[in-house]
Amino acid sequence: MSLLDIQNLTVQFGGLKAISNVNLSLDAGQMVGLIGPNGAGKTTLFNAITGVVPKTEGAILFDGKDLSKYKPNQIAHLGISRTFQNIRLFSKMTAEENVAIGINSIADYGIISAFLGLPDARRKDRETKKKAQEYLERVNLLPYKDAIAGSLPYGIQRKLEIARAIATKPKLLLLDEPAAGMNNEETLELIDFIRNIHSDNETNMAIILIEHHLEVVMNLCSDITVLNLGSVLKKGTPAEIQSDPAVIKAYIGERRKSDG
Amino acid sequence: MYQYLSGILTVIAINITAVCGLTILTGFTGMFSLGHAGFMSLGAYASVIAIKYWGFSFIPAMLFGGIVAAFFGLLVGYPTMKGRMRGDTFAIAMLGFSETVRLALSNIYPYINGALGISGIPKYSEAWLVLLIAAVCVYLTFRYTKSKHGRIALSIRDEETAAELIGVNVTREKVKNFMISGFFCGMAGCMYACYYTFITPNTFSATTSNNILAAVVFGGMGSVSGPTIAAIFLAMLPEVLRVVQKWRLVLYGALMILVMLFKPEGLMGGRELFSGWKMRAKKREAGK
Amino acid sequence: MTVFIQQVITGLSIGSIYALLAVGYALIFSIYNFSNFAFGVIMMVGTFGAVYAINLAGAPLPIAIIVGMIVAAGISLLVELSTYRPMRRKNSPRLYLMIAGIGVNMFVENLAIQTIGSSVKPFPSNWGRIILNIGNISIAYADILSGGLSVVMLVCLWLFIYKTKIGLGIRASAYDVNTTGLMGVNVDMVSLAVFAISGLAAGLAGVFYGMKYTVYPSMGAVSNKAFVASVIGGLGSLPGAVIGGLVLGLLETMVSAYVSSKLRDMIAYLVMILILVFMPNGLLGKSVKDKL
Repeated sequence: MSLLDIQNLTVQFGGLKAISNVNLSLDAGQMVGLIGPNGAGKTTLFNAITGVVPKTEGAILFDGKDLSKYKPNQIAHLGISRTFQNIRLFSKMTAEENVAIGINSIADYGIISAFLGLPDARRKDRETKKKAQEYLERVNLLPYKDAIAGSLPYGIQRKLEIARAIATKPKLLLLDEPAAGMNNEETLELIDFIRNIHSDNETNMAIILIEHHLEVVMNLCSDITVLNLGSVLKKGTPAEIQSDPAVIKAYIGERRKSDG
Repeated sequence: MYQYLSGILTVIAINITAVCGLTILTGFTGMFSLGHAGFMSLGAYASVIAIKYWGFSFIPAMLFGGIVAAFFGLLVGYPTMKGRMRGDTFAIAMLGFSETVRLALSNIYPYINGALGISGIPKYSEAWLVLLIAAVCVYLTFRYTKSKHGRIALSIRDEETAAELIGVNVTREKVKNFMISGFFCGMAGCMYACYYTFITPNTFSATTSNNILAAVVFGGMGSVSGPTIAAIFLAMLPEVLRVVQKWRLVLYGALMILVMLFKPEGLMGGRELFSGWKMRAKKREAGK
Repeated sequence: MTVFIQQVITGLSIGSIYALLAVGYALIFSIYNFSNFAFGVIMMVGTFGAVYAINLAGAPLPIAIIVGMIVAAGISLLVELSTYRPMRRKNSPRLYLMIAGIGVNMFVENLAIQTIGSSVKPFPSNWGRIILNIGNISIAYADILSGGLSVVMLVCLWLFIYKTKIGLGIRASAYDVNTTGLMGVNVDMVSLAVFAISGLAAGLAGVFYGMKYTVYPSMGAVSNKAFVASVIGGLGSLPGAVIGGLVLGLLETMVSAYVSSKLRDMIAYLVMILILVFMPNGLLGKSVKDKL
């Protein structure tokens, strides 16, 4: 059974069909790419999966469960985590605290313990702090643990957002343009980074990667889905996608007759 | 002289307690309210009823006032927070809440005498006692904000959507913090009633709400010690600068504008009083 | 039946004041996406401007109204230039702008209380008191004036926003201020226009309110109803603001007449809460969801 099964999904806003009859499925542990020109509906697809926008038709099944029955925070607890196109870190908290929220988005002790600062609560806080530091260490961000997230360099912020997302131990990680705004060097580093977290995790985590930097997607993903204007244009391996004329046309546009 | 001093200290204590409530709601959860006086009013009236008609003594009455205020927090909070209200809408809705409380209380005559108010409230608010209570409240608030509940509140303040998608139950946390803030303000209302011995539905007005907000803004959101210090300072201001008394609110307004223009992080910049020392101590440790 | 018609007329009359206020409010909201909490004092200062024009300079009513509108527009521009614009340049979060607005409100209102005194004064014009009698129905001249001028103002506003170049800039900015700026529209000009118009509306509404009721430093609180009217009509929608204002005025008057006058002020807030809970986009509003 697939981990994620999107069947005939349509998402409509007023008169606009952002997503039209999209089918996509993913097994545990797979890393799949989602590409397409701007406005193709890629982020909307992520929003639909995570419960932020309601679906108009079709179904999204995760681990056999119908996601439309769950609220966004519940979907997170089912095992889906994501990053955002414009980084959404908790900018006024430290890097360590950002990751800690990922570990414990629901407090594991009551408010009385919190108010009184009971030893049980403090112990649990220390444990979470340690775990957060472990995650930071694993992604080589430990030196930044006490830095305020909003003040970190852009590339580090991107990595931190990913670190926070994997701290929830997700079964499915949605990465929305993680390489946006990066130069070539940073992009290569990011490719290694993502490869590492994909191979080294406890839940056989699957990843869906939205990216415009095609070398990232071609390098990392076994399968790629191309979206255009809300529908699936093509699905296939990186090699197949790279040579497909329809895909090239969607991205670059048709060759002008005058260019011969 | 003693009378004078203990008066100021009492006012400081009342201010600090109310500010603790708004700190949790606005400073940490990011919900900007213009009508917190409504909670103080509810708490004051509830506790006074408990004292006058049910023979409660001070502390139980104060706690009762807090609980009643928190209960209304649940009543008002749950439907409004489910709907993901915008920040400014919530602020005005709170104004509406506070107005509704005022109008409702003005029109209930049995027990509370409507617009005429209740007088002859026993003067339970002794300076040392209320200061102790205020100090306890500050400590509790401080611990709460450092706990996971407080950190989760901050995540909602900074990036509500991201917090939700990482698993935070935003509605529940908002309502919870709303109720807690109501609790503290309700207690402050009781402390007020038992000091001034006379309350009317108009006692806790928009000005009261603005004063509490001013303390949180000046002290800095995301900090407990900042607003506490600001609360002390603002409570002392009219006494210390007699000449300023009439113009106090004009001054607050001007200060608010200036703070937002030039130092919006407030006095403490969102950190606590001792965090500077802690940071330096950590650096020393790391350097060894 | 005549009583009912009377109530409707009163409702529409106060409704037109709310509509003007709501539009002034919604204009800023729809472009800059925040509530201008200084709006109330802008209205108040404009009204006092008109009052002083009559009392100190002996100006006739039409001139006084214009003076009031210009004064209000002036204050509105002052607030924008001294406070909001610098903060927007620094990318201050909306929350801070709103708190600054509250600061302005606190500052100006209390300054007025300390200098002028907080007591209520009647508007110095007999127009407020002349009544026209049509059969069994009495309509105050002031109501006719306020209703009529409100309509004129709203029509002018509509023409300005839909038929002029700056108006086009305003409409574009309502979608995305930053992009509009990048496309060459003079966003500074747009902000001046918007805040000026908002002030004009506030001043006019304030004068009518003063004529109908009284004038006092804390009268800015009436603008909270503007906010409520905007919510009812749908946040971010200008036609919605007008409709919301009229609806609110009618509702308040009807409830006041047929249920209880004490409930009048509560009605506004109660309706707002109900709308926010059950119809969050109001009657006509666009849903301003967080763009992910």
